[in-house]
Amino acid sequence: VQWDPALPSTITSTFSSTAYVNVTSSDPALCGNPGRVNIGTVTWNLSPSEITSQCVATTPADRTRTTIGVGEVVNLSLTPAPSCGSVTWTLSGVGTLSGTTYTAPDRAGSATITADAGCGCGKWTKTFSIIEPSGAQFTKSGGDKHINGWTSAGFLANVTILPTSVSFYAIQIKEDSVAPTGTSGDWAGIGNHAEGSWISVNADNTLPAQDHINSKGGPGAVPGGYTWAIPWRYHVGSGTGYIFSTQNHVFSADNAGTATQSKAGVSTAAIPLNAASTDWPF
Amino acid sequence: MKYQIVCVFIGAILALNAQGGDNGNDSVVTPTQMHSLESKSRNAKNIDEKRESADALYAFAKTVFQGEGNSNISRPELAAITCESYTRYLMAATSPVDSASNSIAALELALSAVDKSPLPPASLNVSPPEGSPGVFASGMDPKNIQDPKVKAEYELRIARNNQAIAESNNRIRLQHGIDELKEAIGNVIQGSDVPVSTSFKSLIQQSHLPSEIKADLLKDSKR
Repeated sequence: VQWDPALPSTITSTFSSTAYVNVTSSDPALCGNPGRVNIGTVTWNLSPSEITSQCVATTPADRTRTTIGVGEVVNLSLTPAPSCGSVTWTLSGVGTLSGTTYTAPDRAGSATITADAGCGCGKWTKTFSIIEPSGAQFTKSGGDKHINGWTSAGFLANVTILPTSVSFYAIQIKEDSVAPTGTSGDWAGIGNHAEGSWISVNADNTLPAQDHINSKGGPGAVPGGYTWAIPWRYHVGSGTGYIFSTQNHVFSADNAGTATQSKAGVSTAAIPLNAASTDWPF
Repeated sequence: MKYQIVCVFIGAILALNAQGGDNGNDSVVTPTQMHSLESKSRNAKNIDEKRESADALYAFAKTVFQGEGNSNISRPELAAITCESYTRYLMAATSPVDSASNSIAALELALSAVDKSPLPPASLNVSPPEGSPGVFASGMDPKNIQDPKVKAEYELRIARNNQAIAESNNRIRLQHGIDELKEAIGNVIQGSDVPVSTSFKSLIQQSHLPSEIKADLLKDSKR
């Protein structure tokens, strides 16, 4: 058999060649000249299979990422499908594998998915890193808030759960109750921060609700302050969940009633007692 | 197989009626019943239990959506739970043709439950009302408010906010449920044997799903 073009020593990708068989004849009409018969063209498709994955969450835009948030769901496939064998999918590590769908657990970890075509047809693996939320980013929305004649300061904030390199659409978060620390003046009577409600996170990790952050004392000057170091908790689906961050709600006022309010590092200006009122409560 | 599905459906209805009878009113369906069915779906031990529990949830949802039960069940929450149940089944099944019709109908039902009206405003922390002297802060425990009128008003605001958060949570859950069920149906179409894939495609074409969702589910590219 002759191949045209000739076969290379190694075929590493798609390659086509036509096979010919040389023939000779004793027929005097052919004068003993050889001829050749075209047997056919063969194509070797040696594109290697690989496990491809697609996160159900459409945000972040890279749905093939292998670092995923707790509770995220990922669909898997073997592409192109191997030409032989029957693929068996197995999981080593955390989470659950149902058919070709992987669901991350509610804690950080690592998961390796194996697709085995059996009978020496090939075995492929893909490893995922599962990460928990690490914190929250506060962004002030609108201006500072105040009530004229009261020791008061506050603001609205939009909140994004971090990191944004994965989607935390499967989690809910809430604030825990906590006693104040660093209290002084009348602010010693502020008492505990109350436990909040579980609130779902959007696919882009933003919270669907703003945070209302304020303190108000008076009327008149109420010097002093307090801090709530508020534990933030997440869960996937149900359960008491896990604390992943602490957001400090800090208020202070001087003897003249000039007040400052901050949370998660975002702060109002120092607002004098006699500053003009804004919308309050908000 | 059809006989089995009919039996499952009738069994689900009988079970619901039996539970409804606990409070003496057969037409009332309750969130407890919904969560009981959800629990069965979540704890299903094998593929048959997954399918049966999904079909039972769908039958229950149809009852609620058709207004046959005088319920205080959140429709978005119920639709989301039904989507999640079928997603779990479709992800695990190798030949889910028996539930093709119901899973697509469940997707239709979920889409009908999407509420695009503005959500009531919800916040992470609620501000106490104005009015009385003292110190106040958003998110403070109502127990520390001395004025009973201010305290009552603050508690009312917290209750309203919790209601708004619950509604927001249900809407988000429904959207996630729809997205995951669409993905699961798409995977069945792409990854199943021809008879199963053809059955799903045919049912999708005949369905009342919006054209863009039909196109998305039927597209040829690998999902």
